[in-house]
Amino acid sequence: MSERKDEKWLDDELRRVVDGAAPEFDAETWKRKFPDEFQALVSRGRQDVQEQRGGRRRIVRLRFARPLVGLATAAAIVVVAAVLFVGPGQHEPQDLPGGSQPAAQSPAKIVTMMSLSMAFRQGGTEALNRQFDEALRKLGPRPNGVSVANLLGDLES
Amino acid sequence: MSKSLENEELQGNQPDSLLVERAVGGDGDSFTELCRRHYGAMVAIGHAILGDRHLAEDAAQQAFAKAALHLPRLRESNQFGRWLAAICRNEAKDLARRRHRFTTPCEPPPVAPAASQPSEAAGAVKEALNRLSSEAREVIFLRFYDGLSYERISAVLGISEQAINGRLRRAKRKLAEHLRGAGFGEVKL
Repeated sequence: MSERKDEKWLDDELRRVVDGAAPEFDAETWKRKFPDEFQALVSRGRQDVQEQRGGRRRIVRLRFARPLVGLATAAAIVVVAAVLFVGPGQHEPQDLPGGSQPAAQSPAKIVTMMSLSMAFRQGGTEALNRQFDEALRKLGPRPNGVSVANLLGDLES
Repeated sequence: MSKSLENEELQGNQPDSLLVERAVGGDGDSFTELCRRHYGAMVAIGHAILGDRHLAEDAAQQAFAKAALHLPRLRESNQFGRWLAAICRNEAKDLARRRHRFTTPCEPPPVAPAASQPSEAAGAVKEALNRLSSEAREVIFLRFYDGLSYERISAVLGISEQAINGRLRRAKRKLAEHLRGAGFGEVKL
């Protein structure tokens, strides 16, 4: 035991004792040994893509699940479409008889393209506003619990 | 250079967190790259607990299988190494318990098998290693198992390189004490 025992000696002995010749990971062998786990991992990506698509569908359903928001969105789309199709520069509002009267009576008719277009021709944006006010007055405030089917039923009446 | 080799090289340069995110999204190659990267450390951790290299490799591979199943549960992707090490420790302890059930209680604690007849020094060092705490033995195995870098050890232990150095020094001092206690003489550290 004349050997000098210092840190280098201890490190060398530890290296010998631990005997850790670089273990190599063989991915193919591992996949064969654990096929279910590997499949679960790779199929998760496909599931996520499907869930994302499902999520988009859910968002659309959510929008229409709130009747008043759905109505407002539809009205906004109709207004934009009306303005685009009719175009304020192309057709100036005409002073037709009965211009202060709404162009339609029932809410369903009030928000149709034809009726909105007619209102705009009669009195411009002011007539359009009046028509929307009339529609809202007839529909009145509704709780969130009102279903789309009920709302459509109201519109048809 | 073939496309797969090129891919492997590209994956090899990516940080763990990016590979984890890709693996969570179902990218099998990113996951196997993570396994390849941490295999040595996991085998070292398993070996420190089980005292057997082949069993340690089994524990590491089972840990990868569990990780593949539960990867979405990992909240911080940059903590993958630490998370995997915890799984591997549990797997190794389970294996040790199962093995213990089939061995008689009089059997000595497991020691690393020697390829050839061990020298007197090697036998004493093995004995001293078995007497260390599991934490101290683990850091010794991580450091001396294929010379893992401090950076890699830091990734699996979740502590700074300075803290690893401190833990290593304390483990070596304990080893030296055990060696001295066993009548093996003074080791100057």
